[in-house]
Amino acid sequence: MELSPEVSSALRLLGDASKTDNSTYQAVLSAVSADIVAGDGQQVSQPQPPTSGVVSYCHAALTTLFLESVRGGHSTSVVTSTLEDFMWPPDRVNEAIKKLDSHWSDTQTRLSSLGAFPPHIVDVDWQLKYEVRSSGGEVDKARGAVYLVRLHLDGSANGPLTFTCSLAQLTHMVTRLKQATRAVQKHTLVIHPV
Amino acid sequence: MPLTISEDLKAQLSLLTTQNASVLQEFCRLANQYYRQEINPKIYNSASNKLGVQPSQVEDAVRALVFLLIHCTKAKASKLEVEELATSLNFTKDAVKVLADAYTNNEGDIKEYMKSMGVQVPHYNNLEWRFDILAGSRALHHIAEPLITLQLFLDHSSGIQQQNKEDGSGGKCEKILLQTDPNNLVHMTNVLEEALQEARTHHSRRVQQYLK
Repeated sequence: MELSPEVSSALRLLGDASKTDNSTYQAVLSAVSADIVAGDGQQVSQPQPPTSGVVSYCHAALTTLFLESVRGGHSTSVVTSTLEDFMWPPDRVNEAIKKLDSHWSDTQTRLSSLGAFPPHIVDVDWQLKYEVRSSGGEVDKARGAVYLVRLHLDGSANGPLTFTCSLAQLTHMVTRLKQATRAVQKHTLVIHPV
Repeated sequence: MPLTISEDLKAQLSLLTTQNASVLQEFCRLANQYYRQEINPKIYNSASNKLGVQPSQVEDAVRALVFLLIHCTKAKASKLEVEELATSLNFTKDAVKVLADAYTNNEGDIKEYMKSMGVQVPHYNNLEWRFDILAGSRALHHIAEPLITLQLFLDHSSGIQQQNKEDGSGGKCEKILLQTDPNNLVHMTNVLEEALQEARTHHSRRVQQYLK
């Protein structure tokens, strides 16, 4: 695992029992865990003086270690050997690994939401209407049913996407979606045969 | 009930009533271009030079003519009623015929233009999909996340503008890139299938019958 010199020296400091007492170490560890679990918009923990400078430094380094472990998909044995290289005592190593393991999926979820991706469809609403009349003149009776479909999107600055379609067009759309569903289901069965 | 128009409109049409049939024919052609939004402002200048009036008067006259034809279409006037109205406005006999012909020949275009003036919501055109496996990103390596990428094609323009596009692009067609995961794909498919079922219910058929 590649870590910068600043992060490495901060981790050495954090693991050194003669320089960082146990209560400070525990405070840093719990602050890092709380920050990983905290949702977007929630305030991250702030250390109190007089040790705030050192604590912030170590907090940033330990957070980086956790994030890089999950980001790179490194196994716990890799993380353990990294910490042992920084001269961490076994008890601190075990505690840190336990915390990392317990928050692994949370960290993965947060990391997966980063990056550029198209708006993600999370829900869909629909309305079925029959047009009677409009200011643009008589409505063509042959048009019949008109659907108003609204796609709810995650990660879109413009809000939900709304469009209209006829019965035939909605049928076409549903056919395409069913084709996609069958393709996904076929590949899922290949990977995990029942 | 005889067709009537406002005094303001009569005043705006006064420029045309004094013209002969061939000039009126030109104005009808300009009105036709107006529906298709193809009018070039320079045309107003050249017409105003020929007639010895201001370009703004020419523009007003074209707009008034367009409004007159729309008014007749909304009232579902017959050719005879249009001719009677034109005569009452002091158009010459030949001009009346030109006007009535313009009305009947361009009925389809006028209706399309009126539709474009109504409530416009983007309209579905097509949906393409692609099934991907996301193997990694800058923020997260070594993953295997199934993703479905969708490209939704939506039309924004009215029918008449779509017909005019010669490159076959079919008017203003917006391509929107979206994605979803397998769970949401199944959910979306089920919800939209329910929507299709609703149109086949007894209740919907009754509403449709009532409107016929």
